[in-house]
Formats: sequence, structure tokens, C-alpha cells
Amino acid sequence: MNSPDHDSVFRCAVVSVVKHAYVPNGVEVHPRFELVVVCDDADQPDWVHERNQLYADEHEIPYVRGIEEAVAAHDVQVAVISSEAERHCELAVRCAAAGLHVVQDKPMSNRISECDRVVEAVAAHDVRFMMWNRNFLPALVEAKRVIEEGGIGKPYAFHVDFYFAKDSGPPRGSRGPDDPPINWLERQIEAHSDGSDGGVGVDPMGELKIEGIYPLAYIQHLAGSRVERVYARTASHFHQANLDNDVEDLATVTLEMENGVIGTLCIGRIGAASHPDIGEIKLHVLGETGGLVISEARPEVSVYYRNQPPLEFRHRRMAIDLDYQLMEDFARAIDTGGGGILDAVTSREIAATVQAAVDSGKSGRVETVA
Amino acid sequence: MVQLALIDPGLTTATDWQAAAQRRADVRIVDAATADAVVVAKLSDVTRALTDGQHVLLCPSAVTSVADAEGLANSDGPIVMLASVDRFSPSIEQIHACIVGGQLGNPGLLRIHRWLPDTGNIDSVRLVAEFDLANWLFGSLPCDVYAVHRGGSGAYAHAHLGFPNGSMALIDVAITLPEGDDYFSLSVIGGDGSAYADDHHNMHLVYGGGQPTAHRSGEGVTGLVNLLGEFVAAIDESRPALPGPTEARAAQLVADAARQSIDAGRPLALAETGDAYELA
Repeated sequence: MNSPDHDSVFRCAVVSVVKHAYVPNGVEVHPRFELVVVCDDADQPDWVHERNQLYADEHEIPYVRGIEEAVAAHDVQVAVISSEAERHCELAVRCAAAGLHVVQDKPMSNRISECDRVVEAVAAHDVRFMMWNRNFLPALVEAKRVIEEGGIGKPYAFHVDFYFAKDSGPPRGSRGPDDPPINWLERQIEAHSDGSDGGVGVDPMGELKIEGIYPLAYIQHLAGSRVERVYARTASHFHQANLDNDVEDLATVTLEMENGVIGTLCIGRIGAASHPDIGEIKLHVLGETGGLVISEARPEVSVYYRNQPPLEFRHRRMAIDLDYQLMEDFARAIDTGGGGILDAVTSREIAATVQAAVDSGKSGRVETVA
Repeated sequence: MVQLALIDPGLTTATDWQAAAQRRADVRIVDAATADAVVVAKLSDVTRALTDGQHVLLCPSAVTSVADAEGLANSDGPIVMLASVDRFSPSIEQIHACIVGGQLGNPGLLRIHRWLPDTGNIDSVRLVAEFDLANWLFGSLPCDVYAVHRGGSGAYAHAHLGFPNGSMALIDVAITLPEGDDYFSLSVIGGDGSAYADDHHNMHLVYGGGQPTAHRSGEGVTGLVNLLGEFVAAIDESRPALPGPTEARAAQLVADAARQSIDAGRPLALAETGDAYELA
């Protein structure tokens, strides 16, 4: 039986929820986490307030324009941050300063200096921090088990393919000679309706920054090695919005890690026509006595029927326990003072790896991870 | 009818060559004395065959350098073709056809995993073969080459290639699997679609107690049959066979760049001449 302290329920503030709301929705899956209020700064634009209000209404909790006021009034212990990317860290620092544990949506930030502020704030105020991640997907749990049981010997190379078969506005080459470039934020706001607004914010972001934390967290989780050098190729191959804003939608990355471990990443938002489901997401791991090939989507169930909508996934993931396990891990981190599955320090290292990859894609050189 | 003699079948067994020839009405396996074409695995045998006026299928492992490939150039007379079955395997042929037919749009990314049990030396055989595939699928030499390896004996190598128009490739070859089956996957991401040839997709399960074991449905000798088809067609049409010395030279050029990159820890870029690589 758990001790009474380990049964306590954490009251959570949803601190801005302008993206698709998988993070706060995932938090509330766990019975020890209760969403009690949505809040944001009063000076935010109308579209931000509208989305926050909508989420509050859907969950029948209040929306407060004023973060510190909401925290004080609602006896909150945890902040769930899902704002525009460039606000993530500022909000996390303020919440940590208020003594709140923090669950934060990806990316950690689009600036490493901001990530450093979070690392310092979390340590200074002795609160726990978790970047949202997918490390507890069933296939990842299986991969971790096989490696830890020595099934392939000491692993030395980790390869991840992380493709999202989604469109993202008009295709590359569709802009007329007299058309203006696509405004990034306007495009992301428009994309909210179909859930492809992962890069919402004023500053344009490519796929490495938007999604890179997931596959890089896989590699970090399985390898446990820090990335030292990065070589990358990047391209705006598919979408006009990426081309207009000089951010990649396709990238390949070579990672040189501690102890001679090698990693690679293929990542892209490759268009809805490219795969019948969300995309081919795979892990290939080589060890000194074997190899491991993992499909991240499995287990899944296949469903086909007459008049099936073209964009409906034919293969549906199932038995996904990710949200519960992430929050169970976070609860344990709070209870014990431990680091958890993806804490601030590790998240910052991954953000630095992403930045090195973006830099390498532009410089054509091998970049050292800061 | 091509009368083909198996002087030295190399890594492909004579049985497979026989089986492939049996599936073609235009190829017959014969003794060396009556052959008008030969399968050989040594460069010295190529010279001898060409002198005798015989067409040549050369096992790729015989070519280990740019100079070797240049020595095969034979603008007139008998044909020299690399007996590299990779281009002709049914799965890769289909992917190539999709690229050439425009179904995938502009190819943007190629990923190849080639994992083998310990077969000796990566550089001289496998990595070069994957570079040939990459050059062929993109239709050009890479403009940038970066490579890393692991293990002093070259048990693992990884190459990161940049192609014109922002296209890219990741290729890794390992010879660290335990004795048994190999693993191969090749995927292409294009502007309008993607294609996957992956052993993972072609496994059957056998339940014999405990965890099931996976067994692959192979592609048989179909690749070799297709290779013979190209060889015969080139002879009939008096044209170069693909892949030939030019393609072998291109793959060796990339392999040279990869070796230099490993030594330098830096990428190399294709020189303006388009015929050599230099440190970027």
C-alpha cells in the first residue's frame, strides 16, 4: 500500500493551451493529477485567450487572465505549459519560481539560453520538471527491455526514422510570383483545426525543433550517452510555408556520442500521401552481438471498410499507456525528488543537439554540441 | 543466346547462376572453351576474357579502387558489366521504377541499413555497393560526403551523403551480426510519396516454444535473372551494360571520399570539376 503522501492528488494549472491539447489531456489521465484552472497572461492576443477559454469551458474549470493570480487562488502544485514555443521557458521559470512542478510541451525552447534559465530555476527552487515525450510507448518499453536484458549485447549504434505523414499547408512551389510569403504564425493558427500546428509561435521552426525531441529522447533513453558532435543535412522539400520561412521539413542527422556510440536520425513532415497512417517511425539498434528492429507504432490493429475516409488511419495504435506512465513517472519524481524520465538537464542537452543539427544543416560542417 | 561460363562465380554460388540461367531462354551455362561470355572474380581474368573477345560479368568485390574501375574501361568490343545484383532485386527495381516514373516526386531522402554477419571487410564490398545504389537512385554523384566508422577493423561504417537540390542519404553497413541471416532495408522519401523495401515487413513467424522466431521470405534468384536480362540486352543492343566501369568508378570515388572523411573527421565536397572530392 502506498504511503498517504504518495496518494495525494496534485492540483494542476494549465498555463496557456494554444496548441492541440495532448499534454494537459495526457496529464489528467492519471488519477493523481487534477486540472483545476486554465491561466495565461492578460496581455496575450485575443486568439490565445479564445483557445484558453475554450479549453477551460470544455473541462468546466475557470480561465484566469493572470498566471500568478491563478496559482495563488487555486492552491496549485503543478503547471502544465503548452503555449507558443518561444514562451515555454519564460513560463516555466515563473512557475518554478512560484514553487510549481512543471510539465512542459515540446520544444523546450527555440533558444538554448532560455533552456539554461529553466535548468537553473528548477534547481534553485527544487521543483521537478518533465518535457512531454514518448519514451513509454509500448515499442520503446520493449526496446529498452531487450537492450537491458543483453539481447543484442552492448549497443553501439542507434538509428531512428521519425516521419509524420501530414501535410502542412500549400505544397512547395505553389506560391505565385505575386503572392506574399506565408506568415508562419498565421499558418500555424490556421493549422489548429487539423492538429498540424505543432510549430505554433511567432518564430518559425523546422521539424528538428518541432518534433526532434521525441526521436532524440528515444536515443538518449536507450543509449544513455551524451551527444558530442553533429552533422546534418536539411531541406525544405515539401511545404511552401517551410520554404518561405527558411526552416526545414526534412532532415538527416549524424550523432557522435560519448564512448564511440553512433546515432542517426531521419525526420520529416513528409505529406499525407506518403503513408497510410501517421508515418513510418522505426528504430534500428545495433549491438555487439545482435541487432534490433522496432516499429514504434506497434501494437496496432488494422481496420478497413467501405467508404472509409481517405485520411482515416487504416492501422490504429492500441494499448497505449503512455500518458499514464509519463504521469506516474512524474508523480514518482515529485514524491522522491528524483529526476524522472526526461528532466530539465536532459531536455536542455537534447535542445542543444537540435540546435547543433540546425546549425550544421546551414553551415555544412560538423558542429559541436554546446 | 549467350553462352556463359562460370570461371569464378565469386560470392554468388554456381547453383544460383545455374538456377537463374535456367529461367532465361537466352542464356546457357557452358564450358569455358565454348563460351562467348564469362563470370569472373579477378581483374586479371577480365583482361584475359576481353583479349579473347568474351563479354564479362565481373563480381564487384574485384574492384577495390578508382584505378581498378578505370582499368575496366573498354569503349569498344566486348561488354564489361558488374555482377552487382542489388540494382536488380525485385524490391529495389520497383522503387527505382517509381522514382523514374515520377510517382514519388523528387526524391529527397534515401536510407539504407545493411547488416551482415561477419563477412570480412566492409569497404571493399558492401559500402561501395550501397554507394552505387545511392548514385543510381538519385541519378548523380553526391555533392557532400561525411562518414564515421566504429571498430578498428571497420566492423561498422556509416555514410551521410548530400545530393544536389538538397537531397540526402544515410547509409550504414555493419558486419557485427552473429552467424545467420542478414538484414536489409531501403527507403526513399520523395516529394509526393515514399517507398519502403524492408526485411522487417517480410517476416513469417515460427512457433517452436518460447519466443517465436522470424523467418524471411527471400527474393530467390529473381535479382540474378534480372541481371542476366540486362547483360543479354546490352550485348544484343551493342551498348554498355549497367552497372559497368563508369558506375563502378563513381561508387569507388564516393568510397574514397568516405574513407578520407573518416580519417579527417570532416565532410568532403565534390570539386567543381565534378570528378573528385576535397575537404570542405
